[in-house]
Amino acid sequence: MREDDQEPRERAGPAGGTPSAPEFEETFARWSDFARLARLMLGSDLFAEELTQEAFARALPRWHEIENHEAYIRASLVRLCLNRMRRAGLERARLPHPPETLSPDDLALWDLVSRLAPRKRAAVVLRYYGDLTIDEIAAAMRSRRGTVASLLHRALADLRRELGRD
Amino acid sequence: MTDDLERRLRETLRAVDHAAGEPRRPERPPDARSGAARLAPSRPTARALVAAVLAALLAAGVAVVARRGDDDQRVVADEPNALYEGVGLFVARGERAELCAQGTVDLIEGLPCTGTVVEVTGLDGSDLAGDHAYVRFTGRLSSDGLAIESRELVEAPATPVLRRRDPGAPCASSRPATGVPSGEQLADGLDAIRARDGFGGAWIERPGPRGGEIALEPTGRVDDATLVVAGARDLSGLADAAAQLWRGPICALTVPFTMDELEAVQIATAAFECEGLFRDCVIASSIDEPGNRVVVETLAPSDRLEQAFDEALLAGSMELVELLRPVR
Repeated sequence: MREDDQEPRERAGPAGGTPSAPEFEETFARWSDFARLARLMLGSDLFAEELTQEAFARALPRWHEIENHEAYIRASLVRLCLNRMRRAGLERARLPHPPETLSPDDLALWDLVSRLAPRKRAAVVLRYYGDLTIDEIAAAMRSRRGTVASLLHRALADLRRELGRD
Repeated sequence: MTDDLERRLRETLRAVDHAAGEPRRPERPPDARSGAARLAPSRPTARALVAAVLAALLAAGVAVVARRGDDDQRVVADEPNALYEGVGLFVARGERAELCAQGTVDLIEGLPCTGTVVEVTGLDGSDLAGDHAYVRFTGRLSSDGLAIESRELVEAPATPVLRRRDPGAPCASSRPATGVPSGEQLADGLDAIRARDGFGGAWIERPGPRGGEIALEPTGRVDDATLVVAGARDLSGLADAAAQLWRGPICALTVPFTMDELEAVQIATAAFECEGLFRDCVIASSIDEPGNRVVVETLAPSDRLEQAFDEALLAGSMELVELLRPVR
């Protein structure tokens, strides 16, 4: 995939308007995939669903101008999630899982992931849950490739250090 | 080993996702820029206040600015070609550049621009150090866009400083940490606190680097942080509920506005969001919980908008921030 294909940039063309049903439905069918990403970043079902809907709502007025709808909505969603994480430090604590259904190892690692700083956590979720490339994460977070690599490196170092304390 | 950790991360994140189940996808797609879910008032009292505020604004002679697609209802800037200065995020669009007018918090996080895109002349895409840059500029506003007259590349703006509304207000108690509630306990306990009459805010904080500044604690390291609860009524009830939840320092503060009232103000100001180059527009509206206020960001100063807000909204509940300032 060329780097241009990964950029959530808009394309020239008629502004606004209602997207054609098949084109929009194809992307909206992936609503749950976006909400799952947001849920792991936020640790909240409620806010993940709310912000996913918000990301779609923000894309709609310029739907025909956007070249890569998936990348655009993902980038918008990541930014909304980061804003939400920073604005409300408490909301992160709403872990989206019943702890008894996870193994102790999974629970311990998830607890550490949920303690990462917002941008590190977003990068980890996009990389290890979303299976995105570094370039795709950079596009989603509107960061440079090196910044993302550094975020991931430091996040893994944090996790290794904390795991080593157990 | 890093490889082992990466494998464990993949497995754990999938296990968490699986355990959480299928997200509840809405039956209908969103309305464009409706913000309905985000801005929906949580209680009937807030809804009633929104209706009252909007009615008062309309009575004050301020048209609710139309959103994209309703061009004939837009309120156009009444001082065309006025000279303004400001710092903004400019985005390269081929050989051209555009000003991305969105909220300060959004600006710090960067692209994609989800706010108003303003056409620019006098500044090209090649003037930016990459696909976007922050620029301190002076320029003239007109119905055709922003004509740049001077420009200077600058660093991205700093994160807004958070302060309590009244930094000198005494806290109710300070006690050593004896334990940290689980995520579920914290969420449930805070939900109960938020549902109490008179609730005006709750957050976990540490002292910031400068006097009076605070840092929200988003990382879960809560054992030595302070749980702050704020209320306009029944402060002792809020403090008791906080003490049952939090085994560390607690601060109970009296604030003038409840969260219901702030949400109503936010919703009313968000009704002035619009697309395009119009002075009577709200770029972003957000609740500053520690500050017990609504921060409303506008494209440029608008006496009419400010006066209408002053007359219709709760006095002291809002701070207006302008992206562009007139050059005297």
